[in-house]
Amino acid sequence: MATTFDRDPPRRALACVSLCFVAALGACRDDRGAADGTDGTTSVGDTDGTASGGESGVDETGGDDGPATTSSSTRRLSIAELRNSYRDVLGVVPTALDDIPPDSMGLTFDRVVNAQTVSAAHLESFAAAAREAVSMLVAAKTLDERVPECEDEILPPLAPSRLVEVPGTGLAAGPDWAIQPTDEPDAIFIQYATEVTLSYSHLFPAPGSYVIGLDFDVVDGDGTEILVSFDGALVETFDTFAGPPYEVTVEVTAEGTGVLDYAINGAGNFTLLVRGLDVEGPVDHGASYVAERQACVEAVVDRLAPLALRRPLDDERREQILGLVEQADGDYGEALKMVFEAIFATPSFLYLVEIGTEVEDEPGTFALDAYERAARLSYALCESPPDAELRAAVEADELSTPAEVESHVRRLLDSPCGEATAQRFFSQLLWLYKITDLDRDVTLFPVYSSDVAAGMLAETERFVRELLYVEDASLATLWSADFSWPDPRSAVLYGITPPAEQTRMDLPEERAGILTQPSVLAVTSTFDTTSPVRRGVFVLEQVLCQELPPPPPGLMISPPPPDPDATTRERWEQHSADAACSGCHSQIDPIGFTLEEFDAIGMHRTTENGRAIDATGGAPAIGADDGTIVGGAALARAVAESPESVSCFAKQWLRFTLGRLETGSDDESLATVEAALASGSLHEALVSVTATSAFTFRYQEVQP
Amino acid sequence: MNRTAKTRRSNASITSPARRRFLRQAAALGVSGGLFGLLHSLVRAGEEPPPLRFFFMFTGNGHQTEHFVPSTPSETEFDFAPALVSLEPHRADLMLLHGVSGPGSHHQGTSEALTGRPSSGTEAGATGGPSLDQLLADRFRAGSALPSLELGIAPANSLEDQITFSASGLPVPAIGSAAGAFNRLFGLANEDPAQAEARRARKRSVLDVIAGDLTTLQGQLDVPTRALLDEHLTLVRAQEMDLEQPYVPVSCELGSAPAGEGLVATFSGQLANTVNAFRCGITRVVTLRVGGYGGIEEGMYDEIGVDNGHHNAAHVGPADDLLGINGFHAEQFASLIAQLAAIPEGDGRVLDNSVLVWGMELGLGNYGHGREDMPFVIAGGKNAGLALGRYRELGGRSYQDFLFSLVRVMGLDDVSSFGDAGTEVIDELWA
Repeated sequence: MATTFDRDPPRRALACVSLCFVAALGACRDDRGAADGTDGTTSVGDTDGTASGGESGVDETGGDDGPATTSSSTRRLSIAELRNSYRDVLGVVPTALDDIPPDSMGLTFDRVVNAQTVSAAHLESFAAAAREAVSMLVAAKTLDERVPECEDEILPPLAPSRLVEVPGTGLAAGPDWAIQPTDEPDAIFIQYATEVTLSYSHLFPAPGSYVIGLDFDVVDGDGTEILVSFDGALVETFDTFAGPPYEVTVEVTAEGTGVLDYAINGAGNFTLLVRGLDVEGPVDHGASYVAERQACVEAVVDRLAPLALRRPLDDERREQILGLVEQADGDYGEALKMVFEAIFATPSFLYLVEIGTEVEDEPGTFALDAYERAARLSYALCESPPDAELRAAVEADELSTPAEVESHVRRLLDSPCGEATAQRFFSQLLWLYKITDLDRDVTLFPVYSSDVAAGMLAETERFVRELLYVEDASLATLWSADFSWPDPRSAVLYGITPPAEQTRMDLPEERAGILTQPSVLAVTSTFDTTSPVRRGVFVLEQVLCQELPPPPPGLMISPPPPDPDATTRERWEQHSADAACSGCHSQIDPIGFTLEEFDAIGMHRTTENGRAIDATGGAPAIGADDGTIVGGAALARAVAESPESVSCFAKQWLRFTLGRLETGSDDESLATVEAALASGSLHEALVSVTATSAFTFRYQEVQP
Repeated sequence: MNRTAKTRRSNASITSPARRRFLRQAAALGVSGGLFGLLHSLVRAGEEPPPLRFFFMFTGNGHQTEHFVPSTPSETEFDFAPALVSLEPHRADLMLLHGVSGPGSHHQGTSEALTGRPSSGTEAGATGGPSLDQLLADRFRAGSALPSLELGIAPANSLEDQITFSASGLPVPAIGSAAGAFNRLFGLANEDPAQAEARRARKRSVLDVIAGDLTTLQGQLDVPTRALLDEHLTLVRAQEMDLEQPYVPVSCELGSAPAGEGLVATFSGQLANTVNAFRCGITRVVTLRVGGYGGIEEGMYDEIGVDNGHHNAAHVGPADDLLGINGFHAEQFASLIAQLAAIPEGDGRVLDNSVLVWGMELGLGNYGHGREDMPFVIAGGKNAGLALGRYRELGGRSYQDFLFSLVRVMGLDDVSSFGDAGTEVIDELWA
């Protein structure tokens, strides 16, 4: 079951870009794409103002010819962010979050508002998660860790208390021969037995105490004792027959069925009239703690709501939420669930809402308040709500100057959650999340296994961590480093003896940087073969931000037949030579061909199907004509030296941290990040985004 | 407890959540799939005929022409081409159609499938909603516990993969977990009516508070900024309106929860969810999306002996792989027909009141890339007057007219167009 990511990045590009389409429509340019990452095609969102599918009102290109104004969108927290939020605020993560339809990865990252949606299924899961959190906290008895006023004794049972009335006729009774008809409805009449057994199997809805009462009379003769057992263990013995009900209390440890057995013995023959059995529970042991319970629910609101909603709760909303308690009709568990739903299934929690204050003389530009700044910072860099230090800074008004903000940015980025978030950035950018499900044909790749895949991932993660946090490396180094940290499990892919542990190793000359690491080479291949088109599209879109347009409608194509005597390149060359196809394929294929020396699991090769690999290609989008680049290492260096790789990375980082596509108002901010990327370390460039106006303000379209 | 003059309720029956879980667990231990044959439809017939249901199964890519088109293309004496042989036992309950013409390729295939609006834009997607199923869901929502159910088999969730869209044009994503979808149904079935009333009243109170939060936020943001919040409020208001309708209790044994992962188990589970949903009257609108753009990616079809991704098979071949995949889809569709045919309803069967449509992303052709000749299998819907037991080639009628015709099949006679340009019904659909 997919819990975080759906399996695939946009397959439009991968699949149909490989089809021929008419160059006359100017679908792909032969010259370099526009520096802002679009290729000059205008966005085709709605012009009549209604939201187009998934575009949520944001102008997708807005760039070179758009107006200077923009519109921003309030984004929903991603499912990953919701999990972290529950974890940090409550210490429990409800499983109902797993039922939320996975976030779209159509814009690379799982939290870009332009690709977000909300549906009835989402709302159901949001509500279910809030209610489930209560059950989890009550079952674990950990609510008092977050809200001391909610001590264990006052907690409700896990299910509402119910009375179940079972008629005598619903009990299994013996001995058979002694059971006689009776006029009394629902009762059974047991005559002239010396020992009577009554049995009942009950479904207990939750753990807790249950009071069981047996209603019967001895109508003739004498009974001597009643032995009551629960699940085979004796719980009580009655030696007097003072009259019904005969009550016992049983402790049930888990929901499910339990069996009650009554053995009624007599002095000689006796006769019983058994009317039935009552089961009441789970007993609400905390029912008498009325004042404490009210204090608890108020404390839940006062302590947890500000953490969940990332800002203080105003009095009116507080009253509304607490007003729900009386709607629960005395069911305290239900009262807590309603209050939790009002806090955790409300938009102020589910969405990163930013309102701010409009800046004087700058209509459409809104400065965030301290709470919003803290939330934006924290979710951007840690995908979780503001921690105690950040909250303290807000309370002390120490999150306003650039220096103050920067100190927290550095603290967060360098913390474990910051590193985890940075790794998730790269994982999504480079499709590395596909590695956990990566399926390869082991008849073609016998060395491949899930261990090898784990090793590939570990290598890239270590590479990212070292460059970002230890070596203070530049972006260019990311793309073209001549060293890596191969993992022992995947060292076989380099053709080396596995080291005892990951160690920095100089790369062979055919490899350079992250693009020639087995992880990236594998996720851009298929089950049994490489895909130069897939790799070309990957580099163009993820690394160089060159948008490839969709094929025009009305196109019929015939795919190239498979050929066991040709290399992958040779098959594709035939079909790309077609004038109708070369418009786009002249951009894509040359990139992919340079990587053909690496197979579908990232191992180096010099032949395929008995024929020599030709790794000559190019990258026209960055000015390297087809024929001028030979091999993956050369491609990596060309990418590392390209301005497009810098502007693209800035764009991707902005999209990731802000959770929206860039627009015209972001040009200056992007330029700041680009400058940092070009001149300094990756680490500093990641920090630099938080000082930009894009990060400090939010923008609205200005009405003329 | 007062013991003196006690009258007892007959037979203990608690309908707490635990009981439902118990039923699921107990059923999982012993009850087999044969359960459905013993069941009856619980949809009340009353004086009106039972209401029509709508089901749309969407599969990726297209068919090789000869895998779909009968070699004897007679209107009533047609044979079943290789991909469709599993449907032969249901000849009298279905119609085979093709010759519907839609524009373009993959993008249009997913986005237009149920909207009648071909996509545009770099991130493919419809330029507006609602999709046909959502239109029906909105019309049929009174009396349904759930307006619609979007099911999926490994449904990818990028915009280009979506086929269902709300009125505002936002995608309504599919639930890929059969057990997850079952939980939604289970939660709605077999609630004690007294407890349900109390629950609904409480939910209204909570929604009131949440709606208050939404409207406060909306008041401080401009329209583009609050697009998602607006949709959220629309959904909350719809829930509130549903809660104001009289409660329609659903009392229905759903059988065992779906178990198992992988292609076959998930299909089986989602079809069971569909049958349950229709039979128990929980919803009248179900869509089942198999994968998304280009179908399910690699890896899943090896369970049925096809070691190839769907799109790869449809793009590069071999044709036998594509046949294997489409044949499997046909088997699943046939299974749904059989299950609904086995449940009596009114004077006939649930199938007679269910319009089942199998539509695809692309059409007939060499590896099926292209949408000039779109194929459909329609089954059931006898009481909607469909012309069953027929094969028809529709000579290029537009895809949008086809969707519009389905709107009319489902009884929405007041609707005069659907999608960008669907205004003419295709008479051949009716007997």
